Amino acid sequence: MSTPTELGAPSREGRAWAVLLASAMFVMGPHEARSQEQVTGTLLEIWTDPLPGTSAQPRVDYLIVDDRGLSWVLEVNPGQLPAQGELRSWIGREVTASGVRLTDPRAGPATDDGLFDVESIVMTGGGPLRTHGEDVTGVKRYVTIMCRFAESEDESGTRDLSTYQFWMGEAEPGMGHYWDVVSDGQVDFDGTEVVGWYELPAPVTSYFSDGDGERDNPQWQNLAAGCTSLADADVDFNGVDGINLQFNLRFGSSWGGTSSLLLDGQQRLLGTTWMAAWSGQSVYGHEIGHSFGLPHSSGPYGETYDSEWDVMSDSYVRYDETLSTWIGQQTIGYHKDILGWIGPERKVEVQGLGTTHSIFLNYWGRSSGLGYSLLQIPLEGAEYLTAEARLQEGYDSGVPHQGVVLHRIDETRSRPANVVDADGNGHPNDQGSVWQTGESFNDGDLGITIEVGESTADGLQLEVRFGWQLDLTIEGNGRVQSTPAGVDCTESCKPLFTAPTAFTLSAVETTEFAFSGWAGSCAGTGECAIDLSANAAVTAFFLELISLTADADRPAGLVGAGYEDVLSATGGTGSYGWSLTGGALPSGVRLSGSEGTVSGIPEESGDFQYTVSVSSGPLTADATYTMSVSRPTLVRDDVLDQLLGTGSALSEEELRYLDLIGNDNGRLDVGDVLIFLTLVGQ
Amino acid sequence: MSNLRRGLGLGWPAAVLASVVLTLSCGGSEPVVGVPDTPAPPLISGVAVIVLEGAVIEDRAVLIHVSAGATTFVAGRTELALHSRTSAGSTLVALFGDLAGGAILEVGVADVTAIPTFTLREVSMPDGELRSSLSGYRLDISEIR
Repeated sequence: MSTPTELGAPSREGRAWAVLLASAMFVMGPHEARSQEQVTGTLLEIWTDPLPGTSAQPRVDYLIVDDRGLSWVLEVNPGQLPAQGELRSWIGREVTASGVRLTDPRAGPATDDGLFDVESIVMTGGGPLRTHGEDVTGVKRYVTIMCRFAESEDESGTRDLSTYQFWMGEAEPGMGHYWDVVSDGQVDFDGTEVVGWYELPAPVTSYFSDGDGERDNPQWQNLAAGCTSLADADVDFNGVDGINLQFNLRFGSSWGGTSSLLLDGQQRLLGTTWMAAWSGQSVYGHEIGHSFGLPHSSGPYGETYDSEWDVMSDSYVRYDETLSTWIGQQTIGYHKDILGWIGPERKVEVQGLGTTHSIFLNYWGRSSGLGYSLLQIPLEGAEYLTAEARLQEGYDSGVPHQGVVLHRIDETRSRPANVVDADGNGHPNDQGSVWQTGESFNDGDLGITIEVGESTADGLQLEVRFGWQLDLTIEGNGRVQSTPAGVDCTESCKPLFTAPTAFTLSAVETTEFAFSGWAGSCAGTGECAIDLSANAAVTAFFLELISLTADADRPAGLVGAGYEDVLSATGGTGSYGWSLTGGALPSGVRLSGSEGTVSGIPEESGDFQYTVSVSSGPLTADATYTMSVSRPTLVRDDVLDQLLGTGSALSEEELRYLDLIGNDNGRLDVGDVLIFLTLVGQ
Repeated sequence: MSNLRRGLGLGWPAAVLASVVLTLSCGGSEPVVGVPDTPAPPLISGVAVIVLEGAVIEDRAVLIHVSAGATTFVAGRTELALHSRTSAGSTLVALFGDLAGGAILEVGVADVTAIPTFTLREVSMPDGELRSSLSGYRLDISEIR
């Protein structure tokens, strides 16, 4: 997974020539014809970060500085060298490179670095001056030296002394404040100072090996040596941990890494940045990060500056109009960890197929003492996942979202940390790169699930599972079993398998509940085939059988009197459809299909037997009821009094009855009374 | 009174009938049997026999309004059932039975020269349905005795 563009990129003219020469030698003669030589010295690493918007490519270069202060830029063939992560671990240590010395360096200001075509490299000992993985904590005194070239070239972006002093100061967003926050108080820039401008003695072309004027292949060691020697009279380099070399010209790149300098009679290894005129606060953060030993991080798409989650990738996420500069966001948990800023009590490692872990992950800067700042999950080999919780506040105001961000770490890569982008859409800053409450990361290949639970002001609750889980929900009473065996649940369950598994689920009904279907990974009412190569969720619905609870004998009615009878049922989905499937209701009375209500005004008397069918979801049930309707008992004279206008003894219902048995014209008349008298035999 | 009744003989009911203005109406107005504006005869009581002209065998019930002045109400035939209620002088009479068979009502009056007004309100068929129109029906005084 090493990235050629960052490992010995062939963009440097001198190196391109060297490669051609080496190739020609290989073609012309046997390998042993080449003169094998060795260079021994301190291994340095320098990262090139081009001005955004230009065609220049980022890269990382390795140098050896010998005990005379002479430096060789190494032409490395990734296939013949230790993995890049291991090579990086040698930074600051004494190494011996074997290969072909293409050009020799020359000591003194304004001279070229040598070029060395490496065939093999070994660490040859000597105590590490500074190693990868070594904590970067405590007071880190950085000196910023402002070095000016005499040439009249583009100086746009250059700031004055007070601005650089502000950017390196303790007030936000100065580097003192910035790294204090990012390191969670582990780094103190106390004693940091800014000096200059100092005029470099040689022309700018003497410090760059490229002849095209793009100024992207500097003689790093010579620039560093030149600037420090100019400032030596003003700066006590004892106790200095790093230097920023701020130049007045608009180079094609800025650089960060290490240099080995002879200061006050001692060869010193220093974190070093080489800052072009256009560099703002966030670029300072980025390059000082390199000077601490941090690599780039990125999305998983082969780009370098595509992750807005890390100042060590895309550091242009928040522009401060007042300060006229981009303000860097924080760096990622992996980087904080390798610099020793996340103590063992603040990080947690979980693993183990078939296990589940509940973890509270604190947001950056919100360590409540209850949780962790970094979750690490080992994968195969040296790879692992990290999880961190980010808030859009402070230096992280410009990060794309807030929530849990995952990185996949492979230290053999030039950019060890890649954002995990679940949607794989090429954009590692969209919603696919962050998990919030209720969301779940699942990698079916790895059998890892991270569910994000409730959030608080301090962080997020995570559940981490290792395995392939079936999230089975049982609605109602029933049983779900699998073939082959493995699942047998009578209530909702979450069996966790330690390997991808395929099985078939079947529903077992009870005497009171009927299976009504699957939802989720299956549908319908048949068997449910599950291929658990990733987590799956299935719901089995069991419905209580429908029971019609009303008595068979329903309330009696009277002809002409309003009647309402609500039938009732239990079971099913709780929502019912009613229909009359047999018998008959008295005329004037009907069944409501949606409410199960029998209502109306009976127009006839008698015993009426009717059958009702109730449906609820896939279930149905029938019941037969009897409704008796009788006539009201009326006194003949009362009826006649009513007809003949001398009495009002009859109720509204009795009048309606008389009308119904008569001509049903809405009023009492002689025709109605004729029928009444006929019925009563008078 | 009886003499007076007798004195009228057979000749005066015809004269009275001749003077009766009988109106049957459709819709809003009702059939009315009235008396002519003639000099009041001596107070002679009697009985007015009413028939329902236009009745058919399917007519099984009627409702008749009788204005003030009637003293008694008797079914015109024995097979008819009569029910009446008097209120504020006027009377509603309901008759049930075969209405097409002749006299349906005998109304006693105190003064045969002041026969009440008879208004046909409703006619019902055997199933209780009302005749939708009363045109073609007419209440006639067939006899005063």
